[in-house]
Amino acid sequence: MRSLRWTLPLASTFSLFAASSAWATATIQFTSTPPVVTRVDTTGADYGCPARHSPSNSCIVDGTSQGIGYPDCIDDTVLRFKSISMTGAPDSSSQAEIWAGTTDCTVAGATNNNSTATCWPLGTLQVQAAAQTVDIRVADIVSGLGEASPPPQTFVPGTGATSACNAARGASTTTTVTDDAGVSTTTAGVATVTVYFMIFAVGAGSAAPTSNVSYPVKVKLVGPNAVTNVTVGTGDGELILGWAPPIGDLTVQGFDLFAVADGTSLSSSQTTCVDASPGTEELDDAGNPVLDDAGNPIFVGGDDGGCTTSTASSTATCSEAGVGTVDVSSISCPTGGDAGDAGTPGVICEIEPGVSTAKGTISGLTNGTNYIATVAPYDEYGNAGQVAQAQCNSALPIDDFWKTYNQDGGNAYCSLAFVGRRGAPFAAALLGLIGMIWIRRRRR
Amino acid sequence: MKKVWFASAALVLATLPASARAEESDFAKPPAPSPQWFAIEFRFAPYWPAIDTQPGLTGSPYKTLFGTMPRLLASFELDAQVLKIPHFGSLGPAFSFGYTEMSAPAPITGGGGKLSEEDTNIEVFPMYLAAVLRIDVLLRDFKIPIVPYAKLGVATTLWRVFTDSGTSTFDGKTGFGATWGEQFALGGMLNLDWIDPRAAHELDNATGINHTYLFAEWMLANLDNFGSSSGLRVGTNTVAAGLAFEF
Repeated sequence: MRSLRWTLPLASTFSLFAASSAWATATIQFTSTPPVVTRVDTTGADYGCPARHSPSNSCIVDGTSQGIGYPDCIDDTVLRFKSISMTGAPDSSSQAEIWAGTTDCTVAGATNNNSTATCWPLGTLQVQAAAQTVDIRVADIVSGLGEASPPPQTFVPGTGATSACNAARGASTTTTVTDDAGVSTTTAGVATVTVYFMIFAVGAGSAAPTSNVSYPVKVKLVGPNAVTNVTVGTGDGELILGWAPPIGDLTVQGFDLFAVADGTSLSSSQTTCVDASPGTEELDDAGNPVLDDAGNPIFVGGDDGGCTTSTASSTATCSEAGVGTVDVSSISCPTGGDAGDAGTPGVICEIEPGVSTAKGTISGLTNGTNYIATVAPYDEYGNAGQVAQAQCNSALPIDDFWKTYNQDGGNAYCSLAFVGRRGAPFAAALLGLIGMIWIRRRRR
Repeated sequence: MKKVWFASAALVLATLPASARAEESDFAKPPAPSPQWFAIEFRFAPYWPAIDTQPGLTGSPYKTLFGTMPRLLASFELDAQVLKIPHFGSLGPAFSFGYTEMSAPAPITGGGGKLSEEDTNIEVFPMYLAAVLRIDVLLRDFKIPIVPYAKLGVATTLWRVFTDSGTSTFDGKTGFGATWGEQFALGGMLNLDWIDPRAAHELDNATGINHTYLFAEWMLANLDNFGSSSGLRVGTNTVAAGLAFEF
């Protein structure tokens, strides 16, 4: 019997099969190509795709793959696969499992969760003919990225999204690019984690699966690098910011622009959750997991963990040299163009889309007020990037052309209400010409 | 003997199908030019608006903010050559539409000339409806590739003054409007067909373009709402040049 050294509280139906040494005959496939994959939250409600996530807010990156960013992971969202079916089922000689990895999980030994393993377990499937809907937590998908090598994995799927996400984030790959000037920059990399739905023969040990389908997921848990060379210029009720976009990060989708009045006290709350210990799995007399009504294994004891919310405050200040100090790292601009209020009292922000955008305007400011302003990029995975060094400047009234022209005695109007002395002769000549043409045509 | 040969040749020619004879005849004679009813001009001109000439202005607001460097006015003109005058030229209406924009950093109020990062801008959309007289007798009758022309019409220019924040306002007045006036032009076109007559002929056969020209003209858009002191004088007195096609 193929031994399962892990058990999973999947939202999907869970099952184990009795021992059998027969070759598996069931095969697995997606009922549609590509498979239908949606997102749900921890309550099972439709989560959709967060705004600003991918160019079309579809959560699809690189044209085909679901993109997972840090917010998706830390919010404990779930990918829902709606289109998995099997032929040759039911089949007591087969068992179906879900694994994930950055390498090929279909090779023998990749999924035995010992020293030869390269993939990590996500759950199991019913071997049944009816199409199944399978929910897989994003935190579980990325968990293996943060696991120490070599296996066995210590992370228990279904638990501790915070620790899984942070561990995976800390282990994120990087990419180094060198620009034309020979300057090298290291940016956060994108990992491709492939989710495998596989059928194994019961009791086949470390053998390769007899049937499988897979779905690649792109994971990027670290936001773009900070922009450089931030400048903040004066405008009428606005500040005009300029910057040099981060190089080498093709996932950048746009920039959040922030302005905070000098001396404003900002308070931000941060919630820190202690990861729950899963406790001990309850087994029946035969050593099989005891399942609850939803089909999930039951754990006893352990620590339910808990969350604590801490509030930190900081004051936006300007130095005499015009360099600003402001903490907006936990603030994300609301979507929808000119954002105005960022949702945090005292912070005004705007969004400038575009990977190579290098200029933007924060409007709605008060003339004569000194502001601390800065920029942070965001990427197509919904990650907020590093906040650049803030700069200071004031919004001030300007003398634009229209104001200058009118103050100089200009008197322009929109219509012909003030036709001058040549108007009547010109109109008469025009009417005469039209009349001549009309008479000429009548004679013909 | 010669008579026999001539008789034989005449007989052969007489028995040839009519179409074959026609083909030989067509091959020898170049196809006629395609009908010509229109002209289109792609025009470029340095643009200085006459804003500062408006009576009653106490300063030079345009020069103060935008300087003296001209902007590039790009436009097109479509002519209908409805009246053909044999051994003289053509007369017909023309419509033109163009665009240009001026932009400069706006000074900070009370800043002693210090500039802000915010731009002040004027965009203009010059248009005119004119009668165009093209005198092509030199080209047609004397093979001199010069076509003088004159234009006279009514012009209007839509204009908008704006900053990064949108259309400017001052004392309840919005920086948007139109100014009317007269349009004059005198110019000459250099016919380019003589450079490669065969290519010009093939262009006509393939596309219907009869003639191609380089042109230059003096143009005056006298936009002051026909003598009023109230219009934003966005007209100009300049020289335009470009390419023209008759088709």
